[in-house]
Amino acid sequence: MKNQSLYSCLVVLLILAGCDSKKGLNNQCSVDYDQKGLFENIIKQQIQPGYESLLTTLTKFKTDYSTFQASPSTGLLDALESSFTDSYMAWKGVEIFGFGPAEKLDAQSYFNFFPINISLVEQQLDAGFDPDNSSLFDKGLPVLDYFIFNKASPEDRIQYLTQPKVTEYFNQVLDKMISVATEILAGYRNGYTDEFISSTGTAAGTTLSLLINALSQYFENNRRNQLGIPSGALTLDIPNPDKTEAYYSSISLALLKKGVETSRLLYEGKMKGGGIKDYVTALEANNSGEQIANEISNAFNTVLFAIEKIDEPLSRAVSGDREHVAALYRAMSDQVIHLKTDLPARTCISITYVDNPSDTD
Amino acid sequence: MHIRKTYLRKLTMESVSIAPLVVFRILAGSLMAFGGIRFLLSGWIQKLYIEPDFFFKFYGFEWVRVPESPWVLYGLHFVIVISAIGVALGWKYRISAIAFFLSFSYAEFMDATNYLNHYYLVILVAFLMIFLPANRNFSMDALSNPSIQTDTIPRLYIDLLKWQIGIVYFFAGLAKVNWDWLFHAMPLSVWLPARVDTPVLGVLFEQPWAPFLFSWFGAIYDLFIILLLTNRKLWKVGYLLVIIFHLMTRVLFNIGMFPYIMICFTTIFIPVKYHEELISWGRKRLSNYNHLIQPRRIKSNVGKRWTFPTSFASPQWVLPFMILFISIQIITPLRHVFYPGSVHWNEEGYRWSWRVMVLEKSGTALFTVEDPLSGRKFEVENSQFLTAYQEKQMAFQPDFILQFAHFIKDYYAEVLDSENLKVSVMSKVSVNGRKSHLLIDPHADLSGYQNSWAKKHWILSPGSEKSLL
Repeated sequence: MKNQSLYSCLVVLLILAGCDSKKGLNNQCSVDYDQKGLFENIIKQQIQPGYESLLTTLTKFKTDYSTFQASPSTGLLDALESSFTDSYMAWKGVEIFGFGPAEKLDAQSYFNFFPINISLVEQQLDAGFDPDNSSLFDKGLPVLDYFIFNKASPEDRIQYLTQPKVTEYFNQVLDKMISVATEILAGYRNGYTDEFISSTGTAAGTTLSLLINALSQYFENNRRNQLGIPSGALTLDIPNPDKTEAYYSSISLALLKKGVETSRLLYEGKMKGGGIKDYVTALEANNSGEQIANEISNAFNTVLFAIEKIDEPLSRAVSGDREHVAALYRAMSDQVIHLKTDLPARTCISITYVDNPSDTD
Repeated sequence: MHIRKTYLRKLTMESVSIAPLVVFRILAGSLMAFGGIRFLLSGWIQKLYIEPDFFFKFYGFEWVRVPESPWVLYGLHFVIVISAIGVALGWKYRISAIAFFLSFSYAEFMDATNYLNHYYLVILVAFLMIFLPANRNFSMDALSNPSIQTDTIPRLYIDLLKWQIGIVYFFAGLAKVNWDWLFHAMPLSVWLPARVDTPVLGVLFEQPWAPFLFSWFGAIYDLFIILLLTNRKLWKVGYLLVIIFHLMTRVLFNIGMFPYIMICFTTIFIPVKYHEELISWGRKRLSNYNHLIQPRRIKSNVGKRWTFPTSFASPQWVLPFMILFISIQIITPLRHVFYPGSVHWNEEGYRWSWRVMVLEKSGTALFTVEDPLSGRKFEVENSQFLTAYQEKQMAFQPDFILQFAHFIKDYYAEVLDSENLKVSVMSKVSVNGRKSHLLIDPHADLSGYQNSWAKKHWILSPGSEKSLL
């Protein structure tokens, strides 16, 4: 008995020693906030218009391509080239939303895997390909980038584009993208919107978790694929200009910028209550610690500012303007840390694209 | 002084029933065998040991290698299962116990990424079991060699396990006595709402006060459960709480064998008569199948002076060993006091200390290699060498960061054919939802540091980085 009281006293003392006189009880993961309203805004202001615009630009792209095929000319080639750019930019506006219907349909693989394997594409052009078997051939916008822009002069481009095998491949790729975009929109119309809006909370798989994971992963991938590998930052300091996104059309930097802007939009929202930041700010109103909401905003601005210092094409800048490219890479790295470490920690959600393979304790 | 002397004397002199130890042997052995089979069938050997190219090591155990051959890897885990069954059956017990201890420890030391406190506990208990006479009743060994059979053992052998388990609970509880755990309910504020889809209890997990309830309950449970379990009247309440608490952790977390290990290990605290009844029940069941196993009456020399049967390690010899072992167990979790700064931040003295689930940490670590010879400077793509889980674990553990820095230095020294590469890291870590801070001096050339027990001066204290950037 004596021992037990002694033990109890010891333990009570230890508890008291662990306490200090800071602020009282405070659950920093819990806030009275209308998550549904936020998700509804994101769907209405970003996801839905984004996919609608993608479908519109793709449809115009298709029309322009048909017109061009009917009577090839340099004027129509220009139109085709600009509707290609519009479509790519429109894709950059939704690429970040890789969950839900886009995930189910494996949209990323039909739209944008780069860099492509040119010799494989040429080989498939000659040997033919199975358009339904997505894993067997390169596809999406990077292939069209190659088809439209791989020759230098307009005459050569016309000549290349009007080969029957190219036409067939081109149409397959474009039609597939149109059908995937159509299906994604249908997915949102037929049930996914409700599912998305009503899935509140912070558990894995809830909408907040999807959005924060999407934002973090998208930004991290862009840092690597759009800049880290082309600039050589991740490849022994040896630039790989041919590995820039949209290498042939030289719109790499514009695409990179559009990706950053899309990420920023998801964070900031189009209006109050329209982005993830609104939720972070509400959480931080209860939190006495250092705040991150504005820091993330500032980091986006720093990245965009660093982009402005670089001239297109990025494929030239990676060897010609290494200082500014390195500065941009540093700015993006800082933001990766914010988005991958600070944002999930503050919002109390876990990064699910890096999951535990076994038990934890 | 008087109490202590009497207790120490009792440990070697007092005879107690062997039944709790026998039950412990059977339960622990079976559970470990089950755990081993589970591991073999889970596909984790492939995922954790065949797929990765790089493995983190514990300080002092860098020599532990992951076998290249899948056959050896699977064979190792097969040995774990067989030896655990051997322990459970009390079959060639000492050899089985040694084989289990060695194979299990080796497997756990192959990649420090997968360090789990409860497997560390298994290693310690497996080590102790080598020396415990757990096969001297109701075992294959006792069956084939009745001369080793005994009904009683010195109290020491039972109390050693009780101390071991008590230490785990006490330090697990002590680790929870901190500001974040008690007054911010962190990290349970993160973990509970993530489980709202749990049937029935899910509604509870959503409540903003629920993490506080669970935090306080958890801390009080860990600190006081040993008092209930050792109390003659309250042990039933205690054991019921053990079951409730650990099943609750099972519901909440992905912690595999842990709840079952604790529920099974704590049976050592249950009064002797239940163990004896269980064993006589077992004998009766078995006697239907094997006429060789005769129901035996437990001789009642309990409480009397301990007398040796044959070939027994003298308890007088075991006692100093026990005191030494327990002292190390008590000092190890406290060693962090010798390192300035918070153990939650710098992790110096964090492992082997029963700090179970007290932190939610995450981080990012970006390594830069500089080659003074060619002037090249580039970032390392961690995923080229590490699995996503290894990378995640490395990001907040300084000794892992150091190991990886050395690895990439050696790797790129060969690729670039250049000596004197400089390796630095931009590593930011968030603890319990706080804004992230630099963990490691970003200007430090990590390739110039070696791991040791000394304070790591290249670890920054949180928030001190302002002057560095």
